[in-house]
Amino acid sequence: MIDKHLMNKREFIKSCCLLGGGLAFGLSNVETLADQLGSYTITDELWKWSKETYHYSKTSNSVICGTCPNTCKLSEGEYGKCRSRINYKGKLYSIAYGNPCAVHVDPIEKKPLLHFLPGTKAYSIAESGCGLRCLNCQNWSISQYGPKETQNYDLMPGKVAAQALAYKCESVAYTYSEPLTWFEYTYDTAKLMHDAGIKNVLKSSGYGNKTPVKKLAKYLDAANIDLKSFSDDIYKELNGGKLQPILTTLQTLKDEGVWLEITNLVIPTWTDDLDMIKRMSEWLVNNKMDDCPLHFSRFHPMYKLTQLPLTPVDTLEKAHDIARDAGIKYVYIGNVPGHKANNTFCHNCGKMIVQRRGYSILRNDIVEGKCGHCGTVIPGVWK
Amino acid sequence: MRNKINLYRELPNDLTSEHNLYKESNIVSAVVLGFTTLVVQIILLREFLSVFNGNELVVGVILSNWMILTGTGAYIGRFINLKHLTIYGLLLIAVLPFLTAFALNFLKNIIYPVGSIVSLIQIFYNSFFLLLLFCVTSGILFTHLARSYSLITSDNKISVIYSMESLGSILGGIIFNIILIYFLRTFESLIVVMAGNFIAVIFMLRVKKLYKFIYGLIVLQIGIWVIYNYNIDLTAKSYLFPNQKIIYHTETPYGSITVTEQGTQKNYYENNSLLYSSGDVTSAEETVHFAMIQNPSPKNVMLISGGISGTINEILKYNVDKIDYVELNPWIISIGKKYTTALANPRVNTINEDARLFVRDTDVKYDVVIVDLPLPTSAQINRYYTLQFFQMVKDKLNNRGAISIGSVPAADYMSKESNQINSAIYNTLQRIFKNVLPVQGDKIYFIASDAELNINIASMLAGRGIDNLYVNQYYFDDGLLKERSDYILNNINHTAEINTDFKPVSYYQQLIYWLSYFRINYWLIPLVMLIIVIFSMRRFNAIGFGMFTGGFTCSGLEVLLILTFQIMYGYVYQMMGVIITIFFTGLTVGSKYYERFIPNININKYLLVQIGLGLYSFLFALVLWLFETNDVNIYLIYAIIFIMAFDISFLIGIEFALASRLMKGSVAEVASEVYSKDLIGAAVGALLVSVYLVPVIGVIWTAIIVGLLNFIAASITNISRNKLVIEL
Repeated sequence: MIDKHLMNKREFIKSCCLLGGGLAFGLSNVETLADQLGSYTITDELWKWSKETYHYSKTSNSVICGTCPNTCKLSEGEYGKCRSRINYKGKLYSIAYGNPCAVHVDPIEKKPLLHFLPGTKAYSIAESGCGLRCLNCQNWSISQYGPKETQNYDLMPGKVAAQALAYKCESVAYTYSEPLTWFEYTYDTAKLMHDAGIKNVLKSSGYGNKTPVKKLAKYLDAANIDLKSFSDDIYKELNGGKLQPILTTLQTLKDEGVWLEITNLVIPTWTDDLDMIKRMSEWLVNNKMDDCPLHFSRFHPMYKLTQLPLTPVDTLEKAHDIARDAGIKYVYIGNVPGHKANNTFCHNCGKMIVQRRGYSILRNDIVEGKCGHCGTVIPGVWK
Repeated sequence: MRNKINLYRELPNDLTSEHNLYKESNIVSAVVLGFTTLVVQIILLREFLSVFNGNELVVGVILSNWMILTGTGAYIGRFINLKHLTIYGLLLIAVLPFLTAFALNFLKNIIYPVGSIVSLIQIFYNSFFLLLLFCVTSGILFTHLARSYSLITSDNKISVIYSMESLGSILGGIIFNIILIYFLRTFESLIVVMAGNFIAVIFMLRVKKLYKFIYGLIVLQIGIWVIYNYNIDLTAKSYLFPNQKIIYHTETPYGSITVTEQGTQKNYYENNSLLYSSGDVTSAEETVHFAMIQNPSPKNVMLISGGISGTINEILKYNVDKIDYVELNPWIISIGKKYTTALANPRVNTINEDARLFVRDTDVKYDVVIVDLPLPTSAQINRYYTLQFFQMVKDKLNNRGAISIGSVPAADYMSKESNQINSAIYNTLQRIFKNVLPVQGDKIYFIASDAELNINIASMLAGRGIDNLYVNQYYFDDGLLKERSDYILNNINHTAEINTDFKPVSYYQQLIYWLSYFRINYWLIPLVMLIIVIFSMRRFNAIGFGMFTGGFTCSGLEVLLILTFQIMYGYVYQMMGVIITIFFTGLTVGSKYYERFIPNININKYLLVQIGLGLYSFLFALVLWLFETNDVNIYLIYAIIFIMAFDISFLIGIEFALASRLMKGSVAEVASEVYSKDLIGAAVGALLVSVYLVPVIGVIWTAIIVGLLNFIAASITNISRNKLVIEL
């Protein structure tokens, strides 16, 4: 006896097709669904912390953002890849303006900037959002979320100077996530700081277009740019970005006279290819950046990249030697407490001129910007 | 040709001549099927967890895929009736696990960015496709064996095949947990399973006994030769650790342990995730000094886990009398002895035990207790973050004693998810200790004590002359430490729920935090499950639904029993094996001998079993409540948990047998229907109970919900009883 609730073959095939089709459709969309469910519900209305962006163009039915190399083309109501820019009624707005999610006071050495006003403090601010998707992002909970998903302070550009002064900070650092993403806030604040005699420091991946970077550079005093690797393929896979725009940013900042330091995070199996490090160092030297301190930083497993070891210290030392041999005058090793390459050695006489331990300076033999031993001018901003 | 191998013929026309041989083959095949699926399930699950560094959500997703695919296979089985299906099926399930495990290791860093963790959804896809063939084949085999055996015996013998399959699972569980896990690595175990299946197939061939014996020996020899000559585990693992030399790799009951070398640096991994790299002082110094400096002269220190990562040398800077280092996994201790000098100091007393057990039983009073465990990504680890555990620790602390426990990685911003975790840990500690101090290093640490705590850590360290490379006044400015500490405190939600043994909210929050890496909503999975359940129930019938709830109850209560045992007693790997074995024994006995207990099968008996299961779940809730509110003798706990494990599975064994007799249709249809509903129920039960119900509503309410589900199923059976009454 065949009960009616049991299927025949034809029904079975039909069900299989349905299930298969459903699964295929479901699986193809499940990531989008997850993303939507996971994200904060974004309301259509603009909020107080919105600003029409400075760099975008219009087409008949969309806007094209000109801030970073992603050049997102956004239809009405659509957000950029950075999650902080929206096409609102045909205009492009940044919703990350005056609402930083992180505000701290840090030693300037932590950025790291070792040739810029040593021993001072930086009033450090960050908005959420970033155009990159680095698998090892340290601050992923702000870089990979938009301003409507994070808890923010209310700190309009006009209020930053008073805060920085209250905390006895000589500079304001735009840091933690990607300050070029929240360009309008960075730019407006920097301009006001400049007028108030407070220094401006940019800690960035350099992932911005030339026009805004050049505009911002007028008010910047120092920058530390992450040159994450020297390969477009690695940039694409590890960071979701491109190499060339970073190189352009470095050149722009250098040309504009901003004090520039460069950080290269050496990640095992990703960016520890010593040939690549050699090519990178040579490029820097050929582009007149031999004066720019280069920091090789030790990788710690972070965010999605937790199945890798720390960078072996010998690898960092090899990278250090390669860069020195290529002609970079000041090469440092970061994230390795107690390493001798945390100190500064005169590029001319080779003697130690700044002895550091952690973020503290134990001895400073730089006298009026010159080596205390041989009198050579040491590149940097010393006071 | 005389010696030509005649494959065992299925569904013979004349049942007389080789009746017994076929009967035997079916029984043996069912046992082999149960053995293979259980061993392979344990091994592949461990392999998935290790490769993807998964948590219990990942376990749930993979197990669900497993059972749903097997259930689908059982369903498809009714339409497939090939010649020699048993033999091909057994050969296929012998070979596939090996290939699957290899593909998993080989493809991980090819498909995904090197060294990256994989999102839950990607794990869902991967496990679905990698397990597809194996699980579907094993499901088809079940239905096929049930049909074939029933045909031979001219009776509905589904429950016999079910009980034999369970018997195979018991054997598989015992052999894996007693022999394979301790002596063989993943691929070696899989070769053993493969050889076992081949030999079983050989014994089903219609050849002379002598030939069977010779063929069997050949297979065995090849197996031994391969294991002896090729280290396939090393080859497979080398794909996971590119540019590193693997100098040690082993499978332990608690996960895989790997040590790799890069130049002079050694890296220690547990389940593929970095535990520690040599020469990294930052985390060891933070773990130790934030807490140790709070005590003016610490003499007795307890360190829970992490002892080989450099923490012990840091503790020794304080001139302590004794360090009791408690480590659950003996293999970590052995690599510590082999590759580090951490455990060599005579003041270090290494204790290989579950730390909760140790804390409860020790007579020593401590000045500082340092908990260096990962965040509670599982209910198992959550036991170290609960009110009950903190109370146990406090009872063993001196007056000025302090405990330190780590929380989320610190960043420059506190996300909602991080804040929830911090709030629960903070509030829980505050119930027990007068002072709780958050300290931000690379991660956030909570120090708690009844004595005053001081955030001026850098100056205290300098004052005491403790010489550190990293945790010192050069890296840490006390003013900035205070600023960060206040920032954490200001964000704490003081009304957030506290974390307890029986309601592990920290575990739940940790899962949400993990999901926020991928921007995935916590409730996405139950949504998908619901769709699957609705799909599988679209032709609803009361018996099928009963079996679904039976499967749900079985796996759900199994999870609860194991968890309860861990909470009440401690984590003992062998005990998990014992409880699971008892479960399978209950299923086997119930489904094999049901007729002795229930002579006349009718729908009322089915109803009674369902009501019985409901009542038993309620009884379990009551027992849990008694456990929570009273001190219970350990032997009584053992007895209660073992008896309950048996009773529940015994009832479900009976339920399965009754369902297979009561449901209408051909044997293949009934077998596939009952078995697939049972499996889908089990899949949903395992996932919902461990990842959703326990963390969200707590252990006791979970048992009540399981009970209610059975009563609903019983009511449905009662309502539709008239439709169900059939002549037997």
